[in-house]
Amino acid sequence: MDTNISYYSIFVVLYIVMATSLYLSSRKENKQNLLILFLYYIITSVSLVILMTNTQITLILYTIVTLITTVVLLTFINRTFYQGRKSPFKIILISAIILRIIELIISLVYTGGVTVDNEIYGSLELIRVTSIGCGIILSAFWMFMSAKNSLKSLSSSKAVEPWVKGRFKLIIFYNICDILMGILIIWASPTQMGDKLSLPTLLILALNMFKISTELLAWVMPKRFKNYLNRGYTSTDIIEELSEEEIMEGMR
Amino acid sequence: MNNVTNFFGEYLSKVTEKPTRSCNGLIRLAVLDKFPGRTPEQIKFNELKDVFNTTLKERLNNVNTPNVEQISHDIISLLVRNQSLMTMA
Repeated sequence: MDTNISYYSIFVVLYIVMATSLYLSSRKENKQNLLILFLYYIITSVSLVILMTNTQITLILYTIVTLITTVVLLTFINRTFYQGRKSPFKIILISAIILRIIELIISLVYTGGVTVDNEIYGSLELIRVTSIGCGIILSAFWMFMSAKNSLKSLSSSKAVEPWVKGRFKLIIFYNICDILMGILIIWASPTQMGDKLSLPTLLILALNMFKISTELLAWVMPKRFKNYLNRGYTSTDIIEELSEEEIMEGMR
Repeated sequence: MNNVTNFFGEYLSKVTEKPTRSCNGLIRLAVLDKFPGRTPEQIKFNELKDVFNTTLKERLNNVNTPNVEQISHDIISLLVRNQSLMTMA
């Protein structure tokens, strides 16, 4: 339990750092979408704090909060990539909510004191863990595809700075980690329940570390890292501002 | 710094065959016409869409650019496809 608390604490701190950075950016640059992502990381930290507690309703509370984070994340993806165009948002949202509700119902069965025999418990756990894994894969795959398609569309433009393209690449990478984690969660449990150092568990831990590091780099991109990504890039910025007359003359 | 301006300026330059610097400037002016004191980087997706549909069209008409309707339609399509740039940059 103590190891778990230390592990979750590190993640809570990192998520709060990311949330703070996103909040400041959203206020400074007037970007409402970043405010949605800020909410996502704040609520995710709350869910981890809940996991640190060990009460009867921990699992239920955690599942409810995770349901909220899923809705917030899907809203972010929809508003960032799909305003004014065809979007699978409703289908993905409904599917994600159904998966989380299945998870919630099974959590309620566990905490409701209902006695289930081992065979039924095994099946319920398999369904619960598959729901969790599929939920993670669903959101991550949508974000992965959206970022990948955007990067493809922007990659040939010399006007877009390399650090911006780098941010898309980092988003693609951390969503691949998420997809793999989803697959491993389904694979790992319940067949290897109780075996804390099983290969899938270790892989999930390693992937989680990669994921959070990449997320941090993507959303709290330090200036030095930005400069590194921009090395060798010559900006097409207006070096000296043109007057309105000069601009209009240039357009004639 | 000016990724949004430069991205759409680059496109406008390609379709109008005018200098990129002038096209970047025209996009900035079109935004200022609609939202005084703000840059393309400081407005929202729907606001930029509105700019491309109104003041940019007016500016292009003022300099007798051919196919203004088509350019406006295409630059809006480009914005819709690449709207994430406004969040990521």
